[in-house]
Amino acid sequence: MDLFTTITVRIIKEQEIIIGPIALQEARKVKGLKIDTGSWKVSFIGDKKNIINDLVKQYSRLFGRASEDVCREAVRDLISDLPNQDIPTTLR
Amino acid sequence: MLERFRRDKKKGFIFLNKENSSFLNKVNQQLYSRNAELAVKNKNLSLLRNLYEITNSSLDKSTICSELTDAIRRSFNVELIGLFILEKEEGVLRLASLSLSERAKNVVKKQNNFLFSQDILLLDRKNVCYRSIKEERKVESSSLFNVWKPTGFSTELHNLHVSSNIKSAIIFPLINNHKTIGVLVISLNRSYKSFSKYERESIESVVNVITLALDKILLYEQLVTANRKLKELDTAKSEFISIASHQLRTPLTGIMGYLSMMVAGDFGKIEPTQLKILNDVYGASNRLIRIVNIFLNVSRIEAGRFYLDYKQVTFDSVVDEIIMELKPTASKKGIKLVIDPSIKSIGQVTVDPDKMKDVTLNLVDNAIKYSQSGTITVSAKKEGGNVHCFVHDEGVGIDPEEAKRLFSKFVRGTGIARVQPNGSGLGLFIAKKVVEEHTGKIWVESEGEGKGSTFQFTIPIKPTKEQIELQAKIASKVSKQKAQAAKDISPEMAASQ
Repeated sequence: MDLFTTITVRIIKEQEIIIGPIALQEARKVKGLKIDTGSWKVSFIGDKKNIINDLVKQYSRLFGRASEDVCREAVRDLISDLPNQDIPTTLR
Repeated sequence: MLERFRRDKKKGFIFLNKENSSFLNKVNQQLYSRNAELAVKNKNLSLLRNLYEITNSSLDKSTICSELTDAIRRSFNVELIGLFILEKEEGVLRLASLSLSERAKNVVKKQNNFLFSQDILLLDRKNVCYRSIKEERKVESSSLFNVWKPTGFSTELHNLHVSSNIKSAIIFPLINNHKTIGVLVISLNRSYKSFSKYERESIESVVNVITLALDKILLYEQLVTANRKLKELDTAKSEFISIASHQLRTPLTGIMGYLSMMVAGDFGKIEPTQLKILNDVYGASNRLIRIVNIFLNVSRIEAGRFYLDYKQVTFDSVVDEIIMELKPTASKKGIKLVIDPSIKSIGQVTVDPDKMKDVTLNLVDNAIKYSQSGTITVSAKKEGGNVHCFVHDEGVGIDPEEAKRLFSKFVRGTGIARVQPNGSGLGLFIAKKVVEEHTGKIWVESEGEGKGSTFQFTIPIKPTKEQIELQAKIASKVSKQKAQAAKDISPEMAASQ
């Protein structure tokens, strides 16, 4: 599993703890993001960084700044391993 | 501009305007924030519960430390957790457990697992662990080099730094009751400042749990060590008593043998005055042998070499011989020694007759010793499948509180010690053991000092088949041990035994 996939899965799972099944429903609405819930297999169609940004904004639209903070904190250890230019802006 | 949604009973849409929509968004966001807070607290509580369960699941130091560090590392997604125990006198932090992320583990494995044998020497004041212990506070460092300073593994640590992207190390001293017992080292691929307020609070509470767990483990280890030393001392003491008693008994047996031959006139006629002296010496030697036998019996009991040799005898044969032996002693003190006719009515019993004679001897002998006048009565009755025997005296009596402890080793009643200062304090201990080996019970009743006492015991008239088999098994085991010991000892020692 590459780092972007791990980041995406971690964000959705963290949101799921707080808002329940809506987390997955909202994630499915993100353009370019395909999720297989059975195996938690995630695939991207397009720029992964942008797709992750869209995912974070999807939650932020509904639940505000707090949801952005949750996304950021959920993947802080993973983000630390990415070069600065590869970090999605919403997770900085 | 109004946004309208009709309530459709089939589809369930609701009618909203812009103001309501904004209000609902705010409510959503507030609810989300509360939920997020609860989720964090819940996560923290789950971790603490997990740690407590680990602490209570075992007393093994290695298992507990390993599971604790793994649980913490997984929960906070850190690269390395090291738990160290402070050995103050040696000036070293001994590694108790190390938990590594997968990538850190791979690097360390490739370098001969160097970190797993790395205690921390507290020689360098710049060592962050040294500082943390000295200042009794959390200390942060950007590098693992400062944790293991001075170290001979600079290259290996550098490789670990690079491959695990280590950016910081935080050292927490583990302090309980104003005493530092160790440190917890956490190494991350980010700075500690990047942790949220909740995460930092969570780590602080985890440190407290670790401290208590480690304290408990160390205390248990001390208890185990102390217990082991006590057992060794106890074994050594029993062995000493056994050897000393054997060494004493052999010459004593020789002395008594010659004395009895002299008294019998085997070496020529003995004058009456000489006879009296010889009889006194013989009596003293007999008492000495009895004491040595008591010590031997105690050492046999403690070494698990004590067993019963069951025989069918009449109950009065167990008692009569003892009474005959002790009657002169009782008469000298003006004490009447009486065998109640109930003794004869008991009939046949299956017991170890020699050991039961010792019990009766001990009880009656004690009754004589601790009476200055009056009558001592030995009686018995049948109770179901048991014999209930009584030895009643009109002597010094026993305080009821002391009566409870009288059958323990080296315990003598205070009143008793005043009347008869000499005594091993072991006779009743052995009597209790003999009676209990017969699956019986022994006890004393007394109304208090100066009011006499009644020692009583009950034993089965006939042991069960299982009981007989058990004693036979012990006897066989002891016999084998003796045979083995005989092969191992020198001829000189064999002769002396």
